[in-house]
Amino acid sequence: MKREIPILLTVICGLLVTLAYFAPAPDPARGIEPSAWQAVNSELLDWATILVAVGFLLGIANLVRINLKQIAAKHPDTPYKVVLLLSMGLFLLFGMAEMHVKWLWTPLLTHLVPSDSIERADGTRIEGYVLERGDKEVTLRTAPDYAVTKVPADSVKSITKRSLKIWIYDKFFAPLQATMFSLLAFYIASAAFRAFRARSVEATLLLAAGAIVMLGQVPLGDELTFGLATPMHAFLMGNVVKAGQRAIIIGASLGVLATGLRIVLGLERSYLSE
Amino acid sequence: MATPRSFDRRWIFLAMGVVVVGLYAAGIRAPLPNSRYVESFHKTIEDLPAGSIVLLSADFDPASAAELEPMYKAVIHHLFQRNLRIVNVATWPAAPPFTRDAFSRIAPQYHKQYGVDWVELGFLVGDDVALGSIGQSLRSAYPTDTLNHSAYDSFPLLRAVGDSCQGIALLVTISAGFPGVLEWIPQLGSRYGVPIITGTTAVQTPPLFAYYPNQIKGFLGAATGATQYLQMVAENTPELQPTRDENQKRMLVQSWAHMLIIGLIVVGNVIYFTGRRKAQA
Amino acid sequence: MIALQAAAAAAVQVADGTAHAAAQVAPAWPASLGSASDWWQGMDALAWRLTPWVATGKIPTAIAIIAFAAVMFASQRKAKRGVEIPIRRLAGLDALDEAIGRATEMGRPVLYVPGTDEIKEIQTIYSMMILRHVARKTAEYGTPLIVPTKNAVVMAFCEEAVRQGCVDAGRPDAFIADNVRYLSDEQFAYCAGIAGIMYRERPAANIYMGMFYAESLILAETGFLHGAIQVAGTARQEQLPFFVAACDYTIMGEEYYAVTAYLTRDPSLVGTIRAGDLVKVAAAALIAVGVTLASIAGSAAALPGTHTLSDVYSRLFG
Repeated sequence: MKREIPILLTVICGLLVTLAYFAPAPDPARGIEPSAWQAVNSELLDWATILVAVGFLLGIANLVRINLKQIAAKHPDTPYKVVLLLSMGLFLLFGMAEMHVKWLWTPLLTHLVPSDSIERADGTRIEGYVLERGDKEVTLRTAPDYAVTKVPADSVKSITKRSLKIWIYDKFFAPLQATMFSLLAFYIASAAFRAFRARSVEATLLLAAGAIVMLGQVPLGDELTFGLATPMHAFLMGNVVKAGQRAIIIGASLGVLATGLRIVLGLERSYLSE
Repeated sequence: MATPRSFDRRWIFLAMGVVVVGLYAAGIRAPLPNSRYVESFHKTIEDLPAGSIVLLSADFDPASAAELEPMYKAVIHHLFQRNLRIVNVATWPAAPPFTRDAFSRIAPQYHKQYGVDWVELGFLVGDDVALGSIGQSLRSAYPTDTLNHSAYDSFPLLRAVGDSCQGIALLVTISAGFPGVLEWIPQLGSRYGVPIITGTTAVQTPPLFAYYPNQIKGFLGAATGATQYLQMVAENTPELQPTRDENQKRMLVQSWAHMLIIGLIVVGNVIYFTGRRKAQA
Repeated sequence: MIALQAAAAAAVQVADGTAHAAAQVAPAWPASLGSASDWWQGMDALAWRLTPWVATGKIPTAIAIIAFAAVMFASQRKAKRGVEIPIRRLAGLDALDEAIGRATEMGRPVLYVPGTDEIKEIQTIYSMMILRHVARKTAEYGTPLIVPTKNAVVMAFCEEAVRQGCVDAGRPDAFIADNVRYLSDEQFAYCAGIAGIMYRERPAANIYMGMFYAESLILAETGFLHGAIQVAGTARQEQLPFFVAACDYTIMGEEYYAVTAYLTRDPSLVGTIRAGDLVKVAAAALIAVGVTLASIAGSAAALPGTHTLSDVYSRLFG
């Protein structure tokens, strides 16, 4: 049963989703309502979304477990692992506090979440936490007791929202990610110097095509090639590359289709370690 | 003579750094002629009747924001100029800060009302499963919006969308990888017949030629496409002109970076053939 | 509960669909099927009547899937009967053994990167099969195997694959759980983590098998800088040029899907590969037919007697 139940679940869900693909689209003009297949498909998609979200939790739990174990074992990278866990914990704490501003206990609220700056219609400014801004009223929590109150929308001129989570994102995450991505420019230059050799006819053709595409992509290319770079680039991409890409896409898609069919029909069991 | 394997790569990195930083500091602009793919992208938006609903998907993160954020903002300007209504979603978790920043700056310029002219639905977890959910039923995928946490049906714009993307006239996806345009095509384009246009990074551009003009009606390929599109939209949009100028400066930097790479390839081949001749001698 | 609701909704749809269809004007059936236009009329009438039950525009897709499945099952039966189905030699796979042997000689570990996507991605599933093969080889030779993963669920599958590989080699004691490491869900943090492993533990062989994105060049170039022999395999066409440039051997596109069949010689997998090849030949033939029809349709006025073919093309492809 340990083996049969996962296979049965896979087959049933796979067949349901596949059959839902062929369900007729709703057509009010002909009185065709959304079909039951679509309702089932929608439900399964919701379940899948929840499972993926749970996967994030599993990831967090694993990250903590593995790194704590290595810290306890005095792994050489212990300082980096401490930084990893601390930054993950702090971001989670600040982010969850901001998501629950409405319910958070006041001492935690004032210490974990930066307040928004609210400019009133009379020109004065107060600090508080805006929960919802509608057309008629604004819901917020302000000093001294930080109880949830509502004020008329026209009494609020502007709101400057502050977020520690976004600050961390803007000052740490975004620059770090952009930095890692920018390494590609340097690495492609060194890979091009090292690896692009005209060793054979095919390699020479590859080189020439690469050079044409690089020249055609930038304004300087036309200036250096008497205006030939752009039309050559357009011909190459619109004909040769298009044909090659379609062939690769068809081949890869058939591979995906074959494996997908095998999984849906219960023939592929590698996900059960068989 | 140094062989490619023994050559210290840091000289190459230094050369690349000098070219990029030096030319960027020089600030010279390099305008581009428009390609037909960018013109198709532009025309697809121009041809939509006013009031049509456009699904705008932010499928990128800070790593690719340099290439994609300018085109994302330009698209929002263009859509609002044409009085099109926008439902904004994100399939990458790091995209929402970009989307909120963009709409908070751009929507007030056109006096667009939240809930009527545009709605921010935020990030949906699940990769291509999320795309399937959005296609099947936007209401089911997003019970509330992400800015006000108000119910789906409280927004007139969302009530007009309907199930199976009935009310969506166009999908615009600004896409850096997975999930992105190559996943939107089977989930929304082929399945529900929604026309798609896209802006992508350089590495994702070659496969798009295979899908043009059937599955994709137009696309902006990399920073080149972004610059060409900005040139078209910024004519009527003073706020976009600094971004257009910035992108044109970057095109010059990119030009010389490409020249450097071609030069390195030539030098590498010279070293290779010289070494081979010596070995044969 | 959902099943009951679905069944009830389906029953209502049957009754309502019939009633509403009768209220619309249905295309008439043709009196005979003597001409092409009669056939088109018949197909229109059939499609209109089928619309409440099935998306008629997707019927060709269903036919294609059924045809592919039929070819696949026939090929698998043929393979299981013992008929020899040759698969051409894949140099990258033979290089795997060479890479592992080199790492053993140098006394340094093998690094296996199973891609950066989740287990639901088919390339990741195939990567697990290849990992099991690599784990068996490294266990036989007593070479450490390091497997960094980007996803906790993939890590569990990798652990199982490595454990099974060690068991296959008769060396279950060779499995070291700490060598299968979950680094980070974030793409470039994962990439930086692997670069760190390359710097510190200096693997002699790097194997990249699965779905990769922008980190592919960073990984491959960092590995080259440390003098490792590198074998890569992916069906993600945008990343292939980077692997081809930076790695010693690259398994490309649909070769990647043939890898497990090549390694295991399992009749079921070999049959699937053969089915894929047959369908590709059929697809190429259909493309040739389509190109011919499109050319004729484009020049129908100039070529006498081609109006029927032009009509066929217009009906099939709009």
